[in-house]
Amino acid sequence: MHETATADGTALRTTVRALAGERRHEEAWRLLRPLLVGDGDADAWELARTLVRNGAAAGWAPPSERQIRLAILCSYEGAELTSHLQLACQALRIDATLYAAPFGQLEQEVLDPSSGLAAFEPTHVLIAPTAFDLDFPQLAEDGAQLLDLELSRWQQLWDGIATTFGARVVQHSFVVPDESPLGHLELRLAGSRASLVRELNARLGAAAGSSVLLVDCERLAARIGKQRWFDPRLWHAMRQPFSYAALRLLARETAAVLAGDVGLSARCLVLDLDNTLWGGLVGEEGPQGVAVGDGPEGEAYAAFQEYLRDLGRRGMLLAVASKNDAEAARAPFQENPKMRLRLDDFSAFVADWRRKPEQLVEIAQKLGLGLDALVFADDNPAECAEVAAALPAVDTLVLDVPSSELIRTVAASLRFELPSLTIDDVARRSSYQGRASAETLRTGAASLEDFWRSLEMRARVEDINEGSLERAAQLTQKTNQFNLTLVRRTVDEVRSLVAGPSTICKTLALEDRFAQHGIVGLVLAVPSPETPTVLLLDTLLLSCRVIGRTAETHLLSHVSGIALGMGYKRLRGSYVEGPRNTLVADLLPRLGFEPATGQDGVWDYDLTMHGQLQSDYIEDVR
Amino acid sequence: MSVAQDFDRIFDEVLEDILGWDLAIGDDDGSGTVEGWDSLSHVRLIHALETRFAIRLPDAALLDEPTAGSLKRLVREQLAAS
Repeated sequence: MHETATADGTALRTTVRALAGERRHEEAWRLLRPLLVGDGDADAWELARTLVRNGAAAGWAPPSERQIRLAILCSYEGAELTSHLQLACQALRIDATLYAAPFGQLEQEVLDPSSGLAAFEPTHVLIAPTAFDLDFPQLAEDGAQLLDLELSRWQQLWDGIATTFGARVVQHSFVVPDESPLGHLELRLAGSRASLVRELNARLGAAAGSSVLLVDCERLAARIGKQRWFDPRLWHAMRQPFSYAALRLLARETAAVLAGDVGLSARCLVLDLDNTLWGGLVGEEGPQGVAVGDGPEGEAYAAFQEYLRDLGRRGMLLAVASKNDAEAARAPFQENPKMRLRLDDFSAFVADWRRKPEQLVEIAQKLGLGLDALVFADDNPAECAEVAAALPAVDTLVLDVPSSELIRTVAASLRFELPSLTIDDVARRSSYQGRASAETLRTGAASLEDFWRSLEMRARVEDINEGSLERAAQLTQKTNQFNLTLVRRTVDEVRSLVAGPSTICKTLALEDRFAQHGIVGLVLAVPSPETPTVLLLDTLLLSCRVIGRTAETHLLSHVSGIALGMGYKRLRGSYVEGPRNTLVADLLPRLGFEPATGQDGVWDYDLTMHGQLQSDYIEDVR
Repeated sequence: MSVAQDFDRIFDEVLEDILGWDLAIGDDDGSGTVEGWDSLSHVRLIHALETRFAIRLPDAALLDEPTAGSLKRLVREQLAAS
């Protein structure tokens, strides 16, 4: 029940109350609605609740697109859930007439023809129990039988509601209790309460099919933490189990599922480009210069693109609305291999210098959608505000968050719920097949060599260029484990090494059947000042996520081949010991280097005698 | 604005947000005299006060039937103790 208050609540309260005082409820609602749809705190909800009540007295109600008649069957005191749900529905433009059945009367309400539920004639019935209702002991001997009984209890309710009232059933799934005397043993015992609750959720999910809507409460409770989800004080005092944070989340997500069912989910996510899909401005940095793929920021944008791509494969249309030259806007999708999204992932692509509301209207027309089917996402709050003001039907997502928070921000939106999905709806592309994890592969593979082969690794080994300089310098700064010499370099130092005569400076980008890892390897090699036919390994390093995959052999294979062509006779290297890099202490001898004569700790690879190093498990891509 | 005035203002705001903006609630008013001050809004009130003042009130406060004045004293005591 404990939360901390936000500091800016006072200004909002003053504005909302002033607007309500002038009967400008609609304007006040437009301020509050994004907070209800988003992650607004208790203050925002109390303000909105009071605004709606105050507005009702003045003849105003929040605008809605759909009407439903929702009956709520709680096994607990459901007044708070009902009140929160009403508000959450209004925020999602559903005008819900509610009937809250007396609590704990689930079967009676459904089966008794004279019940309040029967008189209400619902379009939707929410079944809202908790794990307290389940007849599971701490440890059951006859778990299978208990599961069958529970499953049939809930299914009978579903059937009764569907046949008697022709109403859509929405069911809250069960939250596995956090506190257990059995502790970690729970997971190992099939008859433990936790195991049974998990299994029941899975079986309810399988039984629901496409006719019953489920709200995955276990997932929601995990999101905010189970200690925050359940409030024992409220439970014992009033038979209401949830904290206020949990009530808001549960109400929002239940309303989102309802909105999906009545066709109010968004159909198309319209995205800005610069600093939304990649870091930087493509008009200034060029298609290779924008941040995507490498480095913390680039990786975050790549991950965001992958999330959006999966949203697209699930059936959400993606579109672009960008203020850019048309050609410049398309170039990264066509020319930058680190981009995860491709042009054909988008159903509409608008890049010109018009205002965003005009671009959105064109996109809606092109796709044959109403404006309320669009959600617009942009890192610039001003662009979002302009769209919200000009096109109130379009919901906006302000992505002025660090790139690492992009996925969470979009995933928290309530507008993307799907009522149903079959596997046929999901495009079956190659990357969707064989989704076994690398770990499964490792255990299934007969030997390490088989494992490496099964990864289907492909590398791109390239000269360091302006686009990769920064990443190269960053790797020397940050790599502590697989780093032969621990030499730290600035961008300028790397640049002058690259420009020096007869140097070999390469980055390695690796991908396998599971993931693109971006630039994860670096070698800097320079001619020896004493002996020009000796090539010194100034730097040889790998990012830790690709250790143990022969990427070092692949890098040196390239280096040795090029060195031979340039007339070098030896590769030379030394291990420099640091606090965390002992795993490369014997790297050079493992790769076939021999002790250099007369120099302690120096290792040579004789190019004329041994030729180019062989790399057997990684293929090159161009 | 003094700390004491600040406290009174915030306390009144919380009460008004939950019970209604048009009400004039005196120290002697309580669930018996304010329409809408029922058990549901009372628990909301306790939660909102705890949130705004970053305190935790005794569990018993959920079930009490206090007046605005006695609730204010309770919050003050808890603030002083924290």
